[in-house]
Amino acid sequence: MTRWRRRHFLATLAALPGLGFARGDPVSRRKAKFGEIASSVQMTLSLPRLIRLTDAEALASIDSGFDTTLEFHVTLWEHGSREQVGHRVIVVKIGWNPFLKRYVVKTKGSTGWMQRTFTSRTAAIEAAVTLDRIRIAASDDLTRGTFEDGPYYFATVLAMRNPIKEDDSASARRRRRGDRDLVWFGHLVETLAGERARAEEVVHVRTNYFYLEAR
Amino acid sequence: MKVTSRFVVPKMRVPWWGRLETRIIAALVLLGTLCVGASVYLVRLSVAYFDTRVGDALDSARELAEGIEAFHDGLVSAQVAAFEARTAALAATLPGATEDVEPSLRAQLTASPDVAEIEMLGADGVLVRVRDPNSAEVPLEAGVDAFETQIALPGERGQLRVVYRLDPEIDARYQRLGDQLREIGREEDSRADVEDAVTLVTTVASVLVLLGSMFAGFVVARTTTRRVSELSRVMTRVGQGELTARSQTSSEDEVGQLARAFNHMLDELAAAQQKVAYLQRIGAWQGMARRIAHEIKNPLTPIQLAVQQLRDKDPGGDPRFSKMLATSVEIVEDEIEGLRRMVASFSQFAKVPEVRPAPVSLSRVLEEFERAYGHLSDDETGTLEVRPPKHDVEIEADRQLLKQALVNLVENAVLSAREHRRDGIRVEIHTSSLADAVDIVVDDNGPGIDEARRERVFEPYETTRAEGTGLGLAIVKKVVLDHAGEIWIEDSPLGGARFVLRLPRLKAPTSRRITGA
Repeated sequence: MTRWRRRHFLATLAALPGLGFARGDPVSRRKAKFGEIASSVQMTLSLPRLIRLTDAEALASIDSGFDTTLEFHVTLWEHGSREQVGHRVIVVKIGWNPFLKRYVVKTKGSTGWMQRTFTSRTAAIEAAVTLDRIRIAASDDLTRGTFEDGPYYFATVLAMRNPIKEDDSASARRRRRGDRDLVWFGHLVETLAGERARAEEVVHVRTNYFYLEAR
Repeated sequence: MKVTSRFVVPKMRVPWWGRLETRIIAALVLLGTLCVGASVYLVRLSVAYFDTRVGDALDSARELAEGIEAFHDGLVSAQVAAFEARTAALAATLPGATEDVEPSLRAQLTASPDVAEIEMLGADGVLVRVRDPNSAEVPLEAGVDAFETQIALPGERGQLRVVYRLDPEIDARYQRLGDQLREIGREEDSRADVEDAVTLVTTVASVLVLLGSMFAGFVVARTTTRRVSELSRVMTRVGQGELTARSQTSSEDEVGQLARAFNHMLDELAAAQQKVAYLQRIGAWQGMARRIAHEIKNPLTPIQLAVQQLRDKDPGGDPRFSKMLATSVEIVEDEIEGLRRMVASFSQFAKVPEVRPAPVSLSRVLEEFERAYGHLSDDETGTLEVRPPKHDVEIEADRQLLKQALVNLVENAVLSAREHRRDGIRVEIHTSSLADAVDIVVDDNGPGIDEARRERVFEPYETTRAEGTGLGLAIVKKVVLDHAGEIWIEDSPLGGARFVLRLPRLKAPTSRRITGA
């Protein structure tokens, strides 16, 4: 084995652990509906993978009366550009309310919490995992164009079910305790154990392109 | 008899598996692997032990949470039932006349602080509503901040709706319980992974430590074995006759001590060899001096008698002849006298007796020397100072020969100084005691001896003095060596030469004697 080959072999060998620990969120494509209502651009997108109707644990959690929190990070991009056009975070809570004896879906919008109730759990879940005509940008923030010439826009949505707040995590507790070695060891163990997931379920999608018609 | 020994040292080519270095590294690897294995096993046991305890704690926590969950459900049901019962009771106590309803509702509102609103829709379509004036402007959130009950009034008098205020902290606490349950779930899900990860991290860390230890051990073993190999090579060279070979190891550890001891042994051996060689040379010179003295001494007397006869038989008829004859005879007699003196010194050198040591006090030797040879300082321009030791030292020596050696040294100093026409000749003799030896130091203020000549001056017939025979210092060195001592020359603080005679003390454990040539 020549020296060059040996060096590359050793470098690859040394990089293997790093490659093994690297975890990226696979971004899948998902079709969304975009529309211009008055002076805003709205999007409708459903992400049923966030709460599968076959996920017994998730369903039991909803039925228990504890709120299941869904967090959607919606980012609007212009095709060909690396700068985001807009970003919005939408929080949705779904759970059984024992007083109302109904499923409640609460959505936090710009004006506060909006509440909807459902007798059917399936309907409540469907409502919760669907971003229904949410405002993603002001029309004035986008450049109008044509189908042939663009400019085109698309959105990425990072949706998380019951996201883990860093403040409540074991790492944060160790950090507060002030033992640096313990924090370092904890990071290492959690990285190896794959415990540093951000949520119970993470869905990362990228929408289809759209353009804003010239008026 | 000269004995020459030549050891044939085989080349030591040890296979790699037989080398000390390999064995040390193998032992380190084996020990390290055992330690790492034991460490990982203990860590795994510890993790499993604590994991069991954590699992028990998580189960308890989950059971507790589930108990609280059931309790919360019961609490909510009871609260709902209570609200409905209170609404029914209120409906039963409402007055029949419509104008009396509002004061009654207001009284109920005042009496019940948790009631936010009461509304009655009469059968005639008249709506009576009373609200708590202290209620916040923000609308209450159904199911969280408020609970609404609605019943039909008895006698088809209409509908009664009561809104009760709920404590939002109850729901908040319940939601926090949900967060805790999720955390418990996550901990349970990750227990096996965490256990494996802790073991993996510990294993990796232990292996890294093992590799570090192996590397350090490799370096230490290599360093040590290299020094051992170097020492072994030096020994091989010495065994092949290269007595000047020395180990260059300078460390302070056991290998360094071994190397220094080996070097010291070689130095001692070389010094002993030099002494033996010197004594052999002196012996040869003594034999030659004895023969020359004998060969020269025998014809001297007939020559002198013949010359004297020539002078006696001179008839004196020719004054010029008589003068020439007298001058010639005088020259011959002078030369004969010179030859006699030389023969005498040869004889003296040849007859240096064998050392007969006996325990003797050093002070006594020096006192006798001073008493017998103090005349050496009678010279008006000279001073001989002898300082005996403050604390007397016993040595094993031949008193007469030792005094003879001192005489030779002092004579040599005085004569050298005189030849260089120095005034105020000064010779000092003092002693200094060591652990197992004693030094007799002879200082003079003569011309001194160049460093390059300091070894040569002890060779027989080696002299720079016009009148010297070159035998005095050779006799001194022979006497000293016969006493198992050493002699060397240094610069004297008086400006001339310093001769140091080191003699072993009596019963000195390291004393050795080299006698004879």
